[in-house]
Amino acid sequence: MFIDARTLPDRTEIEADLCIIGAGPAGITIARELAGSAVRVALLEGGGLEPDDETESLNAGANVGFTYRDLARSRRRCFGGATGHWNGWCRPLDDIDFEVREGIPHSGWPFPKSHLDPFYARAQALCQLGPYQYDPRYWQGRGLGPFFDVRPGRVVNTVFQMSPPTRFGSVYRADVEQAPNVETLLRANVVDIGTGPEARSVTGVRVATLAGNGLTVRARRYVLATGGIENARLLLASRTAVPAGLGNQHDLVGRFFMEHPHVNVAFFLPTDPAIDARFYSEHRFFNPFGVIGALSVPPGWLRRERMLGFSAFLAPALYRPEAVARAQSEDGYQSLLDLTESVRRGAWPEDFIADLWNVVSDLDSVGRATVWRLFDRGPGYHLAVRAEQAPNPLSRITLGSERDALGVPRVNLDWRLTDLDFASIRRGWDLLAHEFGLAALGRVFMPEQTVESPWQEHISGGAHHMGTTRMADDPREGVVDALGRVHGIDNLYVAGSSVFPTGGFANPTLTIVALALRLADHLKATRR
Amino acid sequence: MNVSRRRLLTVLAGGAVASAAARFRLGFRPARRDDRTVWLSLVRDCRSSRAVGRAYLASLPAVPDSSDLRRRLLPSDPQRAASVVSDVERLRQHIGRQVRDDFGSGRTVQVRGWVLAETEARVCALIAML
Repeated sequence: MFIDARTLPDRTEIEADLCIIGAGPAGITIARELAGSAVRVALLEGGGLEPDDETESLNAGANVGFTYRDLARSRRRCFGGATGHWNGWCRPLDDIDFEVREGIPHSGWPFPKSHLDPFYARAQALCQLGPYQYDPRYWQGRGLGPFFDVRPGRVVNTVFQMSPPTRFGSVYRADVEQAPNVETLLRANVVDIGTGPEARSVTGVRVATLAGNGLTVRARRYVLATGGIENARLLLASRTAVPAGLGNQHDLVGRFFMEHPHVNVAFFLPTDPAIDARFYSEHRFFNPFGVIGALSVPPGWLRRERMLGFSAFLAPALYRPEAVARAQSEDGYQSLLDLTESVRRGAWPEDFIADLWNVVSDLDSVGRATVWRLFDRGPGYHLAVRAEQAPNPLSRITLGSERDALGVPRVNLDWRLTDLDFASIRRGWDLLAHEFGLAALGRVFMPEQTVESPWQEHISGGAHHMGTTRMADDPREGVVDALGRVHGIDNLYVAGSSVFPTGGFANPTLTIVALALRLADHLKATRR
Repeated sequence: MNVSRRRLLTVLAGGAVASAAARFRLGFRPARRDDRTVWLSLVRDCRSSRAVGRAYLASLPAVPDSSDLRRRLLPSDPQRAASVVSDVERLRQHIGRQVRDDFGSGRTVQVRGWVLAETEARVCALIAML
């Protein structure tokens, strides 16, 4: 049943066995898993069925660190959450992402990847993906490829699956709406999580609507599933019992904010334009899902070099003209633009890259003088890097002095990247450059380090908000335990990417859903 | 590359070629044919290779002379070196192997952002000097 909370009388009290705060992929997954059970579920969603500006404005906050997306726009406060604007990229984290890694402070999950595998397999179906298969050889047998001939000790092929993408808000709406034991309150924004004086248990949550009425929801157990920024915000803002906020006894809530640094400024110029790079540059569709390849660095190399995870797919240069335009200040890119124009005109380019072409088209080969004329796609590819960010306590969310329309303090996001993050990206480029050269595939342009125009300025995030309520067995290292329960509070759980201690390079949605399934199983198995 | 740098490089390269020519005659006992032609035959467009070569040279703390470059590019054995440089196909194969070795063992340089094998950068530098 769906209820618009604005229509309820002020000070209404609602009781349930389980209160889920937030109807994004995690919240909907848990509610759906509990549908038809004996558990009475109250699912609270701040927005409606579709996004609207007034509600989205509650997400606004200030970026006070590394340049980042508009916080009001990079999230969705409506039924379905961020899956409403999700592109559908899916991949589980790798085994190494769960390890405590030398040289990567604060790395490691409380369990290995094998623990999550059964949940990943179930999450595949929820995200409308194919089989739980991320071994490129499996997909090779289904017509994908060819793979580049690179040394597997340095660079490996990897795959992502593409969800249609599944809009959880529409695909699973009926499952939730028709469940007799699930009551979904729309337009119901939680503004405070109330506890007893010792903050050992949640006693109820205070809900406000933009129409001015308020209500209280009381339940035996609570799941906070409002996203990687809002989860921390709500815990920090719930300070009636504890001034520092809930779960924040060790000053960890909001810290360790991580993203997947995205950067497209490196460029791959194939030696021969006939090289088949489609595995890395084009989605292959298997209705309803797709598969695309990428290149990454194997775990052995990551461990040896104490390097963070790195992946790159190939984005045809003409496919992203805005990225080229953004990088016009680079000499090499200016040459690239001129080259592109020359190729379009069918003329021989006369700039540096054209000159370079002569050099980079293997010196021991002949007869390639006419290859440019054969081009029909573009002269090369951006290395579309999606990298891992190291857990960093200084990269964080705090509460600002401004408040939103419901009186909740707005967030300040201080996204910080470190030398390790930058060095890992450069090392990844470098490895690809060497492997591409060795295999006579082509040459790689990577921006040089300059003070005037640092390449780091081109890094952006993917709206992947992770780490702010990180998971650890030790309360001094994490906000939630291995189950996702807030340390020190016996009936409050956190779901979503905020619990990730590390984020690998894989897009987070599949892991969010897998963890939500695991939590749902726990809640079912332990219902009282 | 701005004009003044190009001029400077032209001057440096001119001097280097002059001194290298003398050393070359002493060191390698080259094939009768002028080896300049062989080196230039390696690339399709000398003008562009020279541009890359100049950029590479400009990035070095000290500009090598052409005999240094030849020595690094050719086999250390003088007879083999003479044999390789006497035939453009042989030279092409030799350089190609070195390029792959360079990439395989990490001997690369960045020339205006492009990651090149040290060998190919040196070939361009040599061509810039010829």
